[in-house]
Amino acid sequence: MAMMIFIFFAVLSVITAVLIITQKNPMHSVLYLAFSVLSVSGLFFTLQADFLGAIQIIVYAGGIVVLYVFVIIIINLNQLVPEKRKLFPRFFITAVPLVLIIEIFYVFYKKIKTGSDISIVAESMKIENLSKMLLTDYVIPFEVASVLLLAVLIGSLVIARKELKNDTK
Amino acid sequence: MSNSLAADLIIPIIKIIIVGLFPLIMVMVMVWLERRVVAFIQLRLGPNRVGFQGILQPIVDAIKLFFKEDITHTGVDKVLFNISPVLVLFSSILAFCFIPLGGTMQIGTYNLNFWVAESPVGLLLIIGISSISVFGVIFGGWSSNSKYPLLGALRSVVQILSYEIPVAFSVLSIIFFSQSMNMIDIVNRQKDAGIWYGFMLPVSFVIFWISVVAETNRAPFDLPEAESELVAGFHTEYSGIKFAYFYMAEYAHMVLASSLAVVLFFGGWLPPFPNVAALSFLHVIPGFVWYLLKIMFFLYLFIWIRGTFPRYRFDELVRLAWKWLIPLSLLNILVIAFVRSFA
Repeated sequence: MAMMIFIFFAVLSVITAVLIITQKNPMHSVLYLAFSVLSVSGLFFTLQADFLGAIQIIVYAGGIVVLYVFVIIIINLNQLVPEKRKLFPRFFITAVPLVLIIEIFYVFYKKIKTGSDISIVAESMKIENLSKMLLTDYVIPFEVASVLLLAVLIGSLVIARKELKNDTK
Repeated sequence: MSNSLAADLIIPIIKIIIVGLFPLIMVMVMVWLERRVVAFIQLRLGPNRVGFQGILQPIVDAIKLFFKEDITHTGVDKVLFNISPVLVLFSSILAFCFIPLGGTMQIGTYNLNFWVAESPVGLLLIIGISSISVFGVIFGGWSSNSKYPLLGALRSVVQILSYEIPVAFSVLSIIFFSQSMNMIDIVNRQKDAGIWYGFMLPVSFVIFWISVVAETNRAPFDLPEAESELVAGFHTEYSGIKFAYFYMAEYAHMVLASSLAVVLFFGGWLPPFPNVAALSFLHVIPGFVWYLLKIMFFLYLFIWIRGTFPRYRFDELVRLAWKWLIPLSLLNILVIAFVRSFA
């Protein structure tokens, strides 16, 4: 039963992910992106990673996808602009998914050899264990990430600030 | 065999149907109550012709809306236009799965739980799922291809996203004391503590309540639907059944907000003073009744606030969130964390 639900969400997330890139209208792409994000969170729930699933909904569905919608409305993006990129970014765009695909196959291969135990993942995904890990073993990366976020926040404020020409100060 | 089938499959399905219908029934009660109470506040009578004291008015309204012509004007993005009412209503009904509507009741050997799903992060899930309704609002406003809905949708999203932050912070202070994000655990901890968290953390509750009123787009924060400026906000171009969806979703969201307030701050299904032996006779009344009484009080509070306060201006509304509620909730968290760890 749980396997069937897992397969349902997996198929749904792949279908919606394909729909994102085949849509002509960027707003429709965003709609399917939201569906895709939600079905991925469904995958997390079937894997008993409740916390990750909830965070997926709050951060991605509630925050980032809404931000995309805002950007599309504000810059009035009605039709897709034809691609005009230099060679290096194009190379980059194709190389990153390739690396990811290779990684996925490698993980599959390893898992088939060793077999996987879902209960370990579920145990480490419990919110108490997760928060303990973040504040003991991984406290330095955690703090570095928060400093990075703060730097990004300040940087975006500096960029977005209006330069007043007749600033008396 | 048949017994376990009933326990595993039939009872959950019945529960899901009931929990799906519960907000809709509350919506009908609320539509009538709101029109009557606001009318009394404004020295009018309100609907009192259909049925006893007009109690059948929502049913008549619903029938009218179901049979009205469903107009889709030209220039509409059909996919988004049709899906957004569903998204809004669905998200607020789905969140009810995680709300405990009552305690556990023992029938024979079977323990009947008054909730559909129990999750260790139920609280986060409710906040997350109810934020999906933002999509419905903004897609509805954008796809209508019209000025007022777009402006209303933009306002609404700014408002919902701003006020989500104080809600999250005030809810965090609850988690400090309950040490769990499971809604059922939170209620049980209030029983163990002997005091509802609303009396223990009054500042958190006030911040939570103001933000929740703003998040449900209710007066005095109903800027997205300010009829003097924006006709009807994001659902201006909707008619018939799709408009009814938005209308029901607003009330379902109010029921959800009141349920959250009751479960987090006022003891869910618990009777008052659950640990006092002299008042143990209150446990005879089923938990669902206590829950219902409490959410009726908060739903009445919604209507009362609407009938009493004038509407805010939009910049005042954003200023209230960012300059008052968010700093105050941060300070509140700091003080509570300090008290919790050193006292």
